[in-house]
Amino acid sequence: MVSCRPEELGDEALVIAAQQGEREAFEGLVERYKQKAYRIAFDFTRDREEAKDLSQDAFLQAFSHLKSFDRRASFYTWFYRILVNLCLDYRRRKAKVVWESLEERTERGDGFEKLANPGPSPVEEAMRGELSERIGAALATLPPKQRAVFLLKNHQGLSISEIAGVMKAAEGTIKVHLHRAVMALRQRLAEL
Amino acid sequence: MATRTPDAFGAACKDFEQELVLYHYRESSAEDRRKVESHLGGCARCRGFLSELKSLLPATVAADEPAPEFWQNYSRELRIKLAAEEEKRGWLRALAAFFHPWPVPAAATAVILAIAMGLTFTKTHWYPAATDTAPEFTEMAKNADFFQSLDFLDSMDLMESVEAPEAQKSETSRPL
Repeated sequence: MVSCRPEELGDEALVIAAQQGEREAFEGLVERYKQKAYRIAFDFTRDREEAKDLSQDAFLQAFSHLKSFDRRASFYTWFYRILVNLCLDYRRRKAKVVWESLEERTERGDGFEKLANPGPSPVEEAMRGELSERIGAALATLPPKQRAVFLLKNHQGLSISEIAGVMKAAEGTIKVHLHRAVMALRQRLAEL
Repeated sequence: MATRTPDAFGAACKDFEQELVLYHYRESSAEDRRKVESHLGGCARCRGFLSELKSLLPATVAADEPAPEFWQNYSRELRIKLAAEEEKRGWLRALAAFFHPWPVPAAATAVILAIAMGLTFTKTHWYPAATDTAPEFTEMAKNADFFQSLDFLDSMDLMESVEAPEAQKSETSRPL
């Protein structure tokens, strides 16, 4: 067992303890990063339950593969990579579902108006303002990597070098993605 | 760095666009920051673009602040999932230990040895004895002399059949 309370230990000490089989140490990491993880997932999904499931899945995957983590990168960079990959997979699955739904509706002869902007449920609509809705729709149109870079920078405040570590890409590439995402978002918001 | 005229109101100079985005996020190098600030002093459109980024980008952050109970449930659920994952890993480890490199060949060798010894020591039970020949063959073996004499008679018949045409020929050629 860890001699100190998990919140008093640094990430590396907790990781080492967790790698030696102390689940309590890993739970310390969960407590430290759960809110950030949830918020990243929420930025991608804009759905509370989906965000909770995705972020918990990321913690479970990190726990399962903790032995393979060589501690060359920081824990949160490694963990964010798992989380962002799960979020990107979620976007791909979601896009597929929307596309299949589009095909079904086309076969039924429904109009395209609603599909162009599926929007949130009436309850969500009431909860969120019109601006938030427009921003969500604009974000959804960004290519996955641009969206991921934008969310990690704009919403989570990660530095370019941290994002490069998470996305396993060069800093120059991240800068280009960020610039394109901002310009596309600005353009889409002007159109909506 | 050469600058081009922006296309429309609100658009920044193309050559400064990316630098202005990075400047907004405080990601410019010291040298680039100086260049941008020097450019901003003389370019109203780029100043407008930057102030637009300052108002637009923070507004894109979705505000979701779940209640404290949400976080308690979150932690409780995840602890249960982690415990289940750990238990599953325990089973997998036990299974992996069973298939550890050295016990597998050792167990296989033991099984092969057991089969070989079993076959050797139980040979009398499953291998047919030499005396277990079919009765008709035993009877034939007893009369081997008789069958050999039959063979002799067969060869006598063969000799006669060869000699008979020659004797007939010599009789017909004898003068009357």
